[in-house]
Amino acid sequence: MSKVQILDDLADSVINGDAEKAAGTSRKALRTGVDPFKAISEGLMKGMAKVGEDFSKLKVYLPEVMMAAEAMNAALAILEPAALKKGGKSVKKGKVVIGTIYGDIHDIGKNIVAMLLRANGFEVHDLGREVPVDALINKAEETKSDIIAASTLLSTSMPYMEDLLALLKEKGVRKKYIVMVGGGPVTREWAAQIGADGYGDDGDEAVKAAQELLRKVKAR
Amino acid sequence: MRSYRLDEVTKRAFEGPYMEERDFDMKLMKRTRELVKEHDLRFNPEELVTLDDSMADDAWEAGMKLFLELGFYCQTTKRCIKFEEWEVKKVLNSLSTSLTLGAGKDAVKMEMRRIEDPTSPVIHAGPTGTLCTEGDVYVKTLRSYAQEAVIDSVGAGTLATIDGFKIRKGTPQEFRAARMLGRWARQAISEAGRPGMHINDIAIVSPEAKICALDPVNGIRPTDGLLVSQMIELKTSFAHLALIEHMLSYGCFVGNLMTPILGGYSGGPEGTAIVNIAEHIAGAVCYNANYHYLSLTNVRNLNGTDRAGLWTISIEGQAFARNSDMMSIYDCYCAAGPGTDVLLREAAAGGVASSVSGLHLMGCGSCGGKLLDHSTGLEARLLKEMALAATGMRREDANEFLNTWVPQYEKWLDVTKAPKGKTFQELYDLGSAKPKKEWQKKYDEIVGELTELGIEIR
Repeated sequence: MSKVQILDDLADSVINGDAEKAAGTSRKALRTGVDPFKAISEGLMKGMAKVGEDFSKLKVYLPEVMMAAEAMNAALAILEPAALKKGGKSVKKGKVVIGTIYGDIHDIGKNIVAMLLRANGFEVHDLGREVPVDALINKAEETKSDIIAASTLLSTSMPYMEDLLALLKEKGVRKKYIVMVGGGPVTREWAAQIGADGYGDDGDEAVKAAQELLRKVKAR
Repeated sequence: MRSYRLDEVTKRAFEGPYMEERDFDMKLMKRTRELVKEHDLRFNPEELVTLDDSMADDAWEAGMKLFLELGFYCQTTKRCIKFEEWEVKKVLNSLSTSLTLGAGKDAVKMEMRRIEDPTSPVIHAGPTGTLCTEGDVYVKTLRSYAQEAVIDSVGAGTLATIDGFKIRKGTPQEFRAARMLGRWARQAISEAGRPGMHINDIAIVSPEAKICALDPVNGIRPTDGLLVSQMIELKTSFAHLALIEHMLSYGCFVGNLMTPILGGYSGGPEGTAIVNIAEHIAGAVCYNANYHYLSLTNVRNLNGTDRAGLWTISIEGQAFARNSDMMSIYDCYCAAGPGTDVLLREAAAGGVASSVSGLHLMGCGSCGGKLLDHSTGLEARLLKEMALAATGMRREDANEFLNTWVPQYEKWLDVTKAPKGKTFQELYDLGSAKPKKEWQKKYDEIVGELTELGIEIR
């Protein structure tokens, strides 16, 4: 089997949500000398990008995305240690602290974004729901995260997103973090209005925004 | 009336099987996928109102299995509230098939409807969770619904602010907003000359704050109702059950509000139908619900008017009509906003698909509820008029209409493309709460198109 075929198989295993095949192909990739970084970026990530796009177009639904993420994790458990050993640095793209903001117990949107971020190589610290503003900041400080992401389905919790930005400024750490907001009642215009850095109409767009914002920050 | 069943629900919320919520979600997701296959449910985008009675029965059976196997998850205790099949059937066999909503000359009868039913559906209208400006604008917005003769009930707007304060969950201002929403709804129906009209809800997040709206003089009366939410999917909490306890004592109607996510944990239309049938059963058994709000929500576009959405609500309506006496209400959530033909087209399709399938109506939501003051009475009027036009309609004819009509708007449903339209203040005369020429003309044009297709608007 060629190295190109192995990369294609890795992508397919993620697209089809086949954790067993993803793990098996990952082992095969290492045996045949495929660069583990390449296996992750040109195999697994390629597959996950396709799943994210399909979900955005509603060609697939959340269960298929969750199964793809499981396959991705099964493969990463094998490939990531090898990549670390070889390259000596983490393959993680960045660190994110995420939560459904205070006052809201709806978490399906936040869960989707957290899962897609993880599947796209981010280290995600998910604080769950009804998360107080200061808890998000404290966790970001503790984990030296790059991004703070807050979600809500309720208009009555949107003011807490404004509080998040205000508290970051009050603590003098606003510039340390990329702040992203999203969820049912949140619009792109409102996100910009309150001074957030990023927004996504859906999980796929949120991931792309996180990648782009992080790239810009690292390029400074 | 005190509900001894609610004591049993509470007891089981303490004694049912313990489970982490994430595990419940995974179990629901996996079992739903299996049930879709076991019952061979298949979404047909060309036949939005299924003609297959056995598929509606299969959806019912699968929903019942899901409820019996998983139960109703209590987020407070992390336990599953479970009932035996005989207990569920005992409740379902005891449901009332006729309710009188509202009081006096403004009262309406809401009756259990069946497939292709010739009787009129009831419409619970209002901004349905859409943000509204407080005070006079809110009163005028609700009055714009109440003034429409075909509309039977109003309520359900959400306030952005109260006395200038941004409303946050659990704050004193949220409690004040709850009280004022009840008062303003009563003021709106009085100004419309329909003081006994049923008020269907005040859209406030905290269950404990909702209680503030219960006021036999100036707020929600025993002839009105409130909605009690389920959490997504198939979940509740003691805060919600406690609200029901008080509502039952007070004597008002209990509406079981569900927002099943099409594309979420339930998967596609088939799985969403199964999960939402289970949620209806949970509402009947655990919430003592008098009626059920089927507020289907597309995971991306937040609407329920695309092909997948219409198919889902139709098969659910038919499943209830053939297998139970549960009165379900299609909450017509649209992608577009007022002032646009797209919103009217969405409402027209929703009215037909729901009415012919045995459902009642609620509406219209617009723009995913994201935009302030994007609700008016005119789109709700068309929703009801189309539902009336579809009374007694054969399912085959409904499909013929939908296959002609849906292609006219479906390309605009994506959240990035849906036309947002204008606000109530821009589209209505704020003195009379009647539509301005621009919006009325758009409505007349759509009615003209419908008439050409042979739809009789009554």
